[in-house]
Amino acid sequence: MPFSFQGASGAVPIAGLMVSPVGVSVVDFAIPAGVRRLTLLSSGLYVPPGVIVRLGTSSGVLTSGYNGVQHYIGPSANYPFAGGGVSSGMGFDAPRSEGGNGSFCMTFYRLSPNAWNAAGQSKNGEYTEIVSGNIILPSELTTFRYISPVAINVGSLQLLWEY
Amino acid sequence: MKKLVIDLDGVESSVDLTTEEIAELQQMAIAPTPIRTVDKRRLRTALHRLGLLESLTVAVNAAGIEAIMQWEDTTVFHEDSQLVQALILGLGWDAAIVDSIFETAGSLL
Repeated sequence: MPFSFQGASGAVPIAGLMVSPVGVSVVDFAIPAGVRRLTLLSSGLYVPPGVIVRLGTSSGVLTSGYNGVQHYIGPSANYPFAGGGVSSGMGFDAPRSEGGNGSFCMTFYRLSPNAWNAAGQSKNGEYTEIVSGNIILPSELTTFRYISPVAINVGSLQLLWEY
Repeated sequence: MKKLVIDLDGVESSVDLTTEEIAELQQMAIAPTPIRTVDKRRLRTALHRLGLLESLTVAVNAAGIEAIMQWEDTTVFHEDSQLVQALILGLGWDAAIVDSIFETAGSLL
């Protein structure tokens, strides 16, 4: 379901898509040229361990070269600052919440023409996960890929982009 | 297995995954889950409330002087630590008991 908001000047500062990708493990969003910021929102999505986000260009989706860290924190005494580590480098980790259910938000900033920075956090549960990372693409961003190790069975994804 | 592809107009299409994509999904590394921790005050209170403190004290004392020193000197216990795992094993606690200890401890102010 595409949507957009018109700015006062007639420009389109923000637009996006919302999908319910039930039954699939991979979701590819085509990204318009000139986008400066992306926001990924999940709603009611089960996020199992290993969910990642990858970026792609006209040459394909990058499967390595992602620098990132993730960390768990939480309000429960069991998770005051419960550890984390360096990400696999295969993609940007999607932040999880306790049990993998709930919602998360990730934001991707274009820092220079092809350098992208990512940051995200999950909905608060017994613990929440915060993630951060960056990657330099070989050319302009054209594709945004969400990958789940197991097929998505419930929920929706919303991707917003701003110019 | 399928992937969902959404073009610039928002048109959705279902596309078969490639052999490489399927293989990668199957091999995708499992993200680590956080290790639970608990401070000594909450742990001892939880064990007391669950009726487990006495049996744990007996087990620690039976494990020798180094185990006693470790138990007495540790202020924050990590679930995956050697001492905690040895005690869990020695006392025959199953996952449900361990969960109840951390949940009880985690609920304490």
